[in-house]
Amino acid sequence: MIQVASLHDTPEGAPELSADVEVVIIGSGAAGAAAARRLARGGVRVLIVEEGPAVAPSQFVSDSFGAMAQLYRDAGAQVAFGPAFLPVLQGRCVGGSTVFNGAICWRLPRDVWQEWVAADPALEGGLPWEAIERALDEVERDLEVAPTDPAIAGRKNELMARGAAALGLEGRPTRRNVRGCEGLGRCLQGCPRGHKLGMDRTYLPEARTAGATLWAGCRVDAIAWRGTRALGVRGTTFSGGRFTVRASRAVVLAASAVQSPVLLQRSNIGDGPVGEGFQAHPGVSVAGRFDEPVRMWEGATQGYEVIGLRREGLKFEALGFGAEILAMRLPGAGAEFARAVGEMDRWADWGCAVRARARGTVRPSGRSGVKIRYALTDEDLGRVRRGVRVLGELLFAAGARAVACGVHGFAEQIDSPKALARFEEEGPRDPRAYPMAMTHLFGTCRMGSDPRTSVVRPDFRHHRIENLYVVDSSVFPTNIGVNPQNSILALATVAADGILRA
Amino acid sequence: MKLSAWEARALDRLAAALLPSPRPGVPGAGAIDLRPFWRELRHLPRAARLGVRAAIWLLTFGPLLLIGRFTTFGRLDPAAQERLLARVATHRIYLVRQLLQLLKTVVCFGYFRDPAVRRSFELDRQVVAPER
Ligand SMILES: Cc1cc2nc3c(=O)[nH]c(=O)nc-3n(C[C@H](O)[C@H](O)[C@H](O)COP(=O)(O)OP(=O)(O)OC[C@H]3O[C@@H](n4cnc5c(N)ncnc54)[C@H](O)[C@@H]3O)c2cc1C
Ligand code: SF4
Repeated sequence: MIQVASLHDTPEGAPELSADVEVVIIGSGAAGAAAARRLARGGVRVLIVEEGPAVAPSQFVSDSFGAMAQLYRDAGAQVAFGPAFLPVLQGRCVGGSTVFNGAICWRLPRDVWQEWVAADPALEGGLPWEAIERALDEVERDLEVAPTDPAIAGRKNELMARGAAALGLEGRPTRRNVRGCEGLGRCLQGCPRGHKLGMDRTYLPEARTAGATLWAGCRVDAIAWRGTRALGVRGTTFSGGRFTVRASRAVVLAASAVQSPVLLQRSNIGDGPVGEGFQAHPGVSVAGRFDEPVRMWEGATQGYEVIGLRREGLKFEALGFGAEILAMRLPGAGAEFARAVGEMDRWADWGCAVRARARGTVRPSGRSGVKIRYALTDEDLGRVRRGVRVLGELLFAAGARAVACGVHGFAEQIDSPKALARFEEEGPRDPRAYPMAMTHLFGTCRMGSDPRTSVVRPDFRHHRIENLYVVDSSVFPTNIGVNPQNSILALATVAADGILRA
Repeated sequence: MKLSAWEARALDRLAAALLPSPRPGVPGAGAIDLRPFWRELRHLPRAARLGVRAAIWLLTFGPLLLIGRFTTFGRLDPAAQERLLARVATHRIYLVRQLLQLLKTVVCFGYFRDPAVRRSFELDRQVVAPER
């Protein structure tokens, strides 16, 4: 396997970079890497331009702040504004968010695709289910997706399985894209042993072997275009230099559901609802204290999930992250907090991803910033309350002695499931009461047949600029209710096949 | 972010009150040198840096601003500091609660970076040597 560091092809010290290629791809995350590999293997001269640095597994650090400063956008401090501040976590490195994500793999549910087709029948022919399925199969093979091995699952995942069984809720070991995972529980800081098969370890080296070039540390500032043709991109290197890329065949935008619409708007390509329709899966978590040691920072990072309520828009996962993130979730401040930290090894934190209906906006802000606006609907908050209740019940069913919901206006710790039922009915209606975060993002350059209500056509081409493609989850017409990495990889592959045919 | 010497001292005091020794033999946040980490806060975006600064000021002058006592956080005895923190944690104004949460976040990030703390909690016990 090719080491990531060797992907850093940026000519050193060059004052003004320029290149002529057939296709330039903006962003090296899930979408950009999948498109790059497919195009390069199809014989196309591809350049991938990535804003963030190339970081090798040997350089990953174990503390969460260090990892966030190294790999995450804005050191993990990007937020969506609304009634509440909601952290929006994203990658900014070679491989994008796939470098440090939880490695949970899901296929795009067919019922979600059917919803898309029901809303816009043109998608049935433009984005056929058979093509998506084929691409999903290929992604799963390539990334060696398999259920978590019980030998490395760790206690937190075993306990969630126990809780789900006791409540009769459907659950399963998560299917993950890892090879030889040792259960170090460090996925969210980047796997130090390179076991996670993120894009930095797989599609990007493969694209490079097939002839693609990657520039790391190069931020695209604008897409150049004239009339109905995209001409290339221009941008700034990490050291402040300028670069330009001319693309004779296509410009492929894969900068994520936040950055892609912003780049279009900055490039004066503001047609249609670009930057509108921002959707997510806000995540809420509940911590539970057990009598036995759990050490939730050990074992497969997220090795078990409860999927029985997916169609209600709720999906539950055993979380795994650095001890510092668990600590900041624990109740109190001062002596009470210190006590909880002292017995931190007995706490587990489990999360619920909510398929929220809310739609927000993403707009450029200042010279290179972004402003995300997002407000959960009342219906969404009802789901959040239900999610909190089920999380608490799962924890109690698994043997927790107390749970801490972290909800303002509700008991800091409760010691019986009874209070949880009341919580679903009577819990706060105010989004500011709930600590939440978002990692799955969609919908800001929606795909569709009508240029007034969508930004790209069903074949991923921009409605007006014919050789400009958007291939990341900003084109998803809605959120999907499951972890999106593999759906993004599959759809970007389908998009690249279309470019090869065009 | 470059904290002034006064702000750094205030942040040290707040950290010490927020996270005293979690159990015998494990240092509290006041017993470890968090200054190198405070300097790392420059990696945060501007809004978050401003938030940290606002949290330091709000809590330092919390006795005056939140409970009408004409003194600063550092001059309160430990029990009164604790009561003030509890009050801020459940304050009816969202922004006030969020500032405390931000501070808790920053303190946890800094605290768990300390090698002695990491050893005490055996946080790295499985990691032998990263792949080269
Ligand atoms: C903490 C976390 C955990 C997650 N866990 C899971 C999981 O377990 N399973 C799952 O399925 N999904 C998970 N996800 C989500 C999944 O990783 C993302 O949905 C997916 O990686 C998004 O792919 P993308 O290509 O759209 O964007 P990204 O992977 O974020 O990549 C976009 C890239 O584009 C670059 N870029 C942006 N703007 C520019 C510019 N102007 N110029 C050049 N480059 C630019 C960025 O730096 C970035 O590297 C997780 C996400 C996070 C944040
Ligand atoms: S759980 Fe640990 S060993 Fe497994 S992929 Fe994640 S970081 Fe690597």
